Amino acid sequence: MKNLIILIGVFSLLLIGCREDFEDLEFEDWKPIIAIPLVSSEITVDDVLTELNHPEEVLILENGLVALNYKGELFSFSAESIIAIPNQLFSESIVLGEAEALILDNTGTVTPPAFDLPVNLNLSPSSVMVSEVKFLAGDLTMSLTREQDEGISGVVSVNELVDGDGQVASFSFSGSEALAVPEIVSIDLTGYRLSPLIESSNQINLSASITFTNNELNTAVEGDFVSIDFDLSNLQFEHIIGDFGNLSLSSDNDSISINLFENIQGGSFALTNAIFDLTVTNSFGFPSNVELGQVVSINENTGVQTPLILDDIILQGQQVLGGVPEVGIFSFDNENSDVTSLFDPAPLLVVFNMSAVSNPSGPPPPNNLNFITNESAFDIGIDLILPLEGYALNMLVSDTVPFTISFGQNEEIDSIEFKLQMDNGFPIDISFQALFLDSNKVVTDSLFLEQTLIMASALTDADGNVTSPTHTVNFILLEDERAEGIKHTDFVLFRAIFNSPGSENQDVIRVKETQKVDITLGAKIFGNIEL
Amino acid sequence: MKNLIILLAIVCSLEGLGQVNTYYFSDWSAESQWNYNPALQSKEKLFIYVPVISGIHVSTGHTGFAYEDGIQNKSVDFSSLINGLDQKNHLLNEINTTLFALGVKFGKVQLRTGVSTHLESRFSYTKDLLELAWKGNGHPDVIGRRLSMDGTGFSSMLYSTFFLGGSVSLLDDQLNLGINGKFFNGLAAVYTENSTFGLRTSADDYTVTVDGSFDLRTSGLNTLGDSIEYNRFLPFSAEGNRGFGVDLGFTYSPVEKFTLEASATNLGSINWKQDTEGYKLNNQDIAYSGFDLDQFLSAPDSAESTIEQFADSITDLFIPEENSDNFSTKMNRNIFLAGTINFSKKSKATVFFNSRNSFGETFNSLGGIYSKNFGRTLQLRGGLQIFNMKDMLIPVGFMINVGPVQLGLHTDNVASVIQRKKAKYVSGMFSIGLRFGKDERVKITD
Repeated sequence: MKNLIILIGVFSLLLIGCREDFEDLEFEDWKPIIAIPLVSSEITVDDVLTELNHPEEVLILENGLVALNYKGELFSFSAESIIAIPNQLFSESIVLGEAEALILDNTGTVTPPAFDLPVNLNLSPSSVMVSEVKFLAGDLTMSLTREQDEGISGVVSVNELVDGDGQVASFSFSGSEALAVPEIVSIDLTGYRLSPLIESSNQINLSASITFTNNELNTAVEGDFVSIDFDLSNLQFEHIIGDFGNLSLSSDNDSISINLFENIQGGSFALTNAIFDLTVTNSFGFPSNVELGQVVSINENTGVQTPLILDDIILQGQQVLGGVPEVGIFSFDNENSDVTSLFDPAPLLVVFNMSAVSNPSGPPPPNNLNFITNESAFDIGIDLILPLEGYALNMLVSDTVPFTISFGQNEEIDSIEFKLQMDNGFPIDISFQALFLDSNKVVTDSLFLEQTLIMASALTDADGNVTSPTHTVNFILLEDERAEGIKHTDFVLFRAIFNSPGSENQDVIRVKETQKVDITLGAKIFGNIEL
Repeated sequence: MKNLIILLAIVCSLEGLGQVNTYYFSDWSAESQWNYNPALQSKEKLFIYVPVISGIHVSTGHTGFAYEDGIQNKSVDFSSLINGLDQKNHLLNEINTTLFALGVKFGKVQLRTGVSTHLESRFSYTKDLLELAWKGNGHPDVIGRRLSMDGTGFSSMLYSTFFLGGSVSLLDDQLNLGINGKFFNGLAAVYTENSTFGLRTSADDYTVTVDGSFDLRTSGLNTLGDSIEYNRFLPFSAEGNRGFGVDLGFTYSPVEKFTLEASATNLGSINWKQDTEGYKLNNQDIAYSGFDLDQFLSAPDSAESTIEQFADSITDLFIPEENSDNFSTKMNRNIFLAGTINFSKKSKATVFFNSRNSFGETFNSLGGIYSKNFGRTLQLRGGLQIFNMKDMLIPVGFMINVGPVQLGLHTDNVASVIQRKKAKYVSGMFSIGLRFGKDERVKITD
């Protein structure tokens, strides 16, 4: 142990002696270079379009061509919006003549012959002529009121109204209620069929057979003896068959948003093809003529509006009651219309309007009347397919975003050099600039000296298909002297300009499923630390 | 920062240990019998080394650089300092203390026993490690290649040795055979059994790839920190760790003027079972290329957390598994091969080769020593040693015999005394013993 202590002492003296050797030394500055990988990313077509659209809106067409698919429902009509049967009340009276009143007082009883009371069923619109209505729900309330204090009994029937078993709807009355108090009988119309003659303008008949008995305390006089009310309410039809005439279907304008063109501030972006697929699902049992009218694309940034007239659509309607709906797909493309002209101005919105009329060729034949059910509907959906083939010429995309930069202990950093590498498999150039703005949006500095090509287009063949990717490297040097200006940044204005190869000659390029760009960003930090 | 660098520079430029102790190439010294070749026989009939201060050997060395390799005219040039490094560099340290020794000669047999303590350590680092620290991973000199920190680590053992051995002269004293049995009592150890660590930065996209593994074993650190009691140095101490070893050697003199010597010392190991702690990391390999832009675009605020997650994942990967497994360390063995020419009874020259092990690293050295006796009292010696087959050292020393007292003083690098700033190695050897009687049969010296 003693030796150990001596040894430590000797070493301590040695270290103290050494310390003298190291005093007053001059050290060169420590200038390490730290390399840091910041970004390593593969951006595919799907990644790009996901940023612009919903994932389900990307289609891969034949040969891997990528297309954007904007889906939506343009117009929709339900059965209730076409035809309705409103609540309605019919009132009739049974009248006795002078002779019948005398007989009643003298003999004690009189039975006038049965009589019919015709009423006209109201529908909306009134031009609809009904051959048959089957009720899904509804109430029929029949009430009989004695106007003179004589005894009555009998039956009131609606001959055109039968239940599910074919029995005519009948209402029996006994005259049990006091004078002027209605005797009421109701039925649930569910399952009942009402079948007016189609030629009779929806007329139905109430048939009444009433027997009057004398009240010796009262002297009968000619005039109203009984009043009958016929009340239809809460009517819902299961189906209606008839001649619906020229029903008019129209709707407010509808539109679809084209996110692809969002943020495009200038230049040209042209697509060489576009396809409208209008899918019609029609379960109305009548033919119709659908007029799409004027389709307009609108660039809200520039105010440019481009109209396009599309041909009418002729629909036959569902053929059989209880059958399958009529489904039709009507395509509009470069073959039958100038659809691509809609997308020249890089629109953000495409606006549609529509109107339709039933039985455009006249009334239906008696053996093939119109029909509608409570589940009938008329829908027009749209698939707007934009294949990404075309060209971009000086297409400018820019955005200004709030951005703050914080520098901490930058006195030990001389500079930072960023290395941006792109292996681009897309057939498009991107030149880029970022401008640093202060709180008044005055430019204080910029990322590059000028708009700089950061991503060169992939090489393409004569058909605009990519043959090989292109590698682009950019170095961005941020030196310490620039820090003072940059650190007051409140906003950054990003400006990107897109050009496809040969765009000045309107050469077409194609964006395909397999295209991608590999991005790597690294930084070298040049330190300078005084020792 | 500056003070830290100064401290590191002092430590690293400390001349030090590891060189061959040429003091032992002398049959005047009984210590040679358990430090160099157990076949040697000293000429006295009885020797006793005074307890506690009987001898000390301090040796320290740095294979990397000396003071003047990096500092000229009070100006520190780290670049030239780093350029001068080997890929793997070592700080070696060794302190041997002979607490007690006793030797008796019976005719052609000499028996000896004794106790010594040893503190041996090696800290290793790579040139790449210093390059990484000084230049950074993005410097053109280092980017694009794997910066190897393989082998970086620290190993050290503190133990005491109890030896009992002897030698016998045969064939009319032409052949001497010797053996020492050794019992080791290990007190503390830090042993880096395996250490690999590499970092590569891609020159293209700065992708950082890190790999590494290590296996570090310790014993006795907690109890050593509590106190150091004498009884812990005693053999079979309850707190000790057992180990056994042996020294083997022979000398052969086919003719009177030439002797061939060979020995292997410290062949053995210590089994460490007390207060053991281990830290093991299986081979890990992870690369980071930056965060995914898609993730950033979808959630810009997540970029920072992504980096933090990566940092956490690296940290998690490099958290070692702790264990308390027992382990074994081989002793730092020495192999000597020497030839001695006896010019006269008063002068001789020895040429030697030495291969020494330091916790798995082998250092080979060549050298020669000339010694001359002046009367019966004084022996002077000097020579040349090429340590680690690279660094040239000049050993000098003397030995005085006054009555029964024998006093030795020796250094294996005189430059460390006269030109300290140029020296990478230093050693000091002090020995004092008592000798009684004379064996006239011994004819090699005197």
